[in-house]
Amino acid sequence: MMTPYQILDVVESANDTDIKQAYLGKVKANPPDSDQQQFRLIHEAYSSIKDHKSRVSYTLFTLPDIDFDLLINKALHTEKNKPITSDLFKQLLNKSVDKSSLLNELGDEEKP
Amino acid sequence: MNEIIIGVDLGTTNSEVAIVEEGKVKIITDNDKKMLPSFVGRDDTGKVIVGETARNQYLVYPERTVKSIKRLMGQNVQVNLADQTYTPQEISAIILKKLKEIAENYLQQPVSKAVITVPAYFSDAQRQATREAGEIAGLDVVRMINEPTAAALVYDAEQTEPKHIVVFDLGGGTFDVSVATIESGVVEILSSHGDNQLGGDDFDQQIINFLLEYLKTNDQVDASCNSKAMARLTRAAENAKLTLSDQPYAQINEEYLLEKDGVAIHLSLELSRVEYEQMIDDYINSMMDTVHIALKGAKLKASEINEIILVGGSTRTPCIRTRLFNEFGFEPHGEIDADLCVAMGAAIQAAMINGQQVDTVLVDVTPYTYGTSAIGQLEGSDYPFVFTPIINKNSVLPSKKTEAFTTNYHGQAFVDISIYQGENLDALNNVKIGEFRVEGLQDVKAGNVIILTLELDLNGVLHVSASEKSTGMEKSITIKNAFSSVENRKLESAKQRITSLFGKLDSTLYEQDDEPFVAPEIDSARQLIAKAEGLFDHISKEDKEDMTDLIKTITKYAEIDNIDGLENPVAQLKDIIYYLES
Repeated sequence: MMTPYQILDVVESANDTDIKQAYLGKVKANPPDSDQQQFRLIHEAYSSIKDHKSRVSYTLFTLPDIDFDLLINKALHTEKNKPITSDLFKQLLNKSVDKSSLLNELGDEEKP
Repeated sequence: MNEIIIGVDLGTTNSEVAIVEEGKVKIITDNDKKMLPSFVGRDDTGKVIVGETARNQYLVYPERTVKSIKRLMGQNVQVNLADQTYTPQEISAIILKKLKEIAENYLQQPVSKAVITVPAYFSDAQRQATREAGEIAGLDVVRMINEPTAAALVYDAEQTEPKHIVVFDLGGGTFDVSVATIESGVVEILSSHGDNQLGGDDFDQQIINFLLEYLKTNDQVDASCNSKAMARLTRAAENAKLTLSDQPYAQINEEYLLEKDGVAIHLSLELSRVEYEQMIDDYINSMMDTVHIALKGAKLKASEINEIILVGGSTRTPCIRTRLFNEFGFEPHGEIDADLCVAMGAAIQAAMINGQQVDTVLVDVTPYTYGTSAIGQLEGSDYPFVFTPIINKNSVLPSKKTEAFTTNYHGQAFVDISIYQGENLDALNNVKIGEFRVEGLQDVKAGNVIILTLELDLNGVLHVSASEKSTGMEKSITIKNAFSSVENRKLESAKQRITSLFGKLDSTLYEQDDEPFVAPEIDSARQLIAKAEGLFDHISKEDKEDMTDLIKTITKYAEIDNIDGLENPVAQLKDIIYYLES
């Protein structure tokens, strides 16, 4: 599945004018009369990224294609099964989520 | 090279045919005339006449002449022409056949494909009727394009700077406004709006009404039931309108218009442009409203428009130009020929479809919203026919949209789906363009999901399909097949009927030179078939079946030139016709 940027052959940082020109070029090369399917694809791609508003909404609401099997395997896979010791269990019970601990956790994950 | 595709502007008042030749657009002339008046008639020998001659005989024989047939396209009506009735499609087909012949004469080769233009605001039914007219005329309509769009194609598209243009297209019977951007060789229509029953003919009608009123007050006579007088008044009104485009006054003189108590009545008066402009003021106002709606649809302000293109003869009316000047602040583009640009655009599109290199690529939109109805809320209360838009107005063509619906009760075995065209929240106030039933649904609880898909093709013609989600069972219809007033079989007989009429056309036609010899027996058999089919509408089913069988037999023998075999069935058919007519 190609992203609109790939379909129109533009970089993700392209501005309105670049995107419009790329779109017009693609339309000229693929007029609706010669290949309707291809034209529709091009037009849909253009509609979804033609201006700032549509690009933001594209980024926010269009999820990348997800391979669920891969994700689940990844989630279930651990290095080795850690037996839960009574200590760890106590720790888990006492753990509470507050803003700072959550940010810390997320921050940790960001680290390479 | 591929077979040539002609571009045709099938107008209310005039029609033209054009091709692209050596990279240039050429309007094909007939006797040095670029425009063929859209008049069809039969002369005193019964011969079909089209164009100028038909237009001339309209004054004398209005009952054997048909004008402005485009206004009736898509309606389920018949028109009278010399004691026979024809559908609007058939009359249009006669004009198309004539244009086809003009092209064949020029090209010295047969033509069977055409791009035909239609007003942007033509409905689904009107588009279907146009396609049918093409088929009856023996033309494969490879594409229908919108008239204002065709006009925009003629405009020089190789602009580096994007330009916003407004196409103001006022024909004899239809009115369209389209807003487009033109950039880097692509013409993109942003919005279209219009009125498919408003045109220059209505301006004429205002003048005619005025003249009738004048005759009533001055001569105490009602001319409206005298068809010859009406034809003369119509012509006088048209001429006055044309004069008023250039002059402040028009003189109307019709001597011996009609008689009253043995005394001849002469009509003589002067009409001023000011009076005329008052008569059509309401129309002009409604046209300017249309311009505003089109601009709004394109999300543009009048000040953002760079160019106005005027299309159609009626745009020569001075007050239209004044009003547009007041609105936009500049004069319309002058280089584009208002009468010919639509046919030229059609030819450009035809060349493109044919694989020829052209400068301009077209992206068009639909002027209508298409959808279905569903149970919902309307003005705060439950209502069963709430319009549910699926393809929105000004969507780019081709367009394909899907909507999911659920069944209402347990074990529901079928759903009825109606398709509407329009903008009103109440589906019943929109135009219903089709209705169909999805049957054989699974016996399950309410909530069975039905997927409805609407697809609008490049011709602006709608295709509909529905499927049951759980089984994938599909029901697909093209509005064309399911709702057209003319079925395929009927279309075929219409084609024969019109073709046989044309057999009587004058001998200047291209085809006749190298047409193979046809035995007179076969020729008369064909005429007999046409006559038989002409009776189909008025006879019993049994008679019709008998005749259809005979026609089949005759056609079979005629195809293999078996003259002896023809004798018997022809005699039988003659007997039936004799019996039916007596």
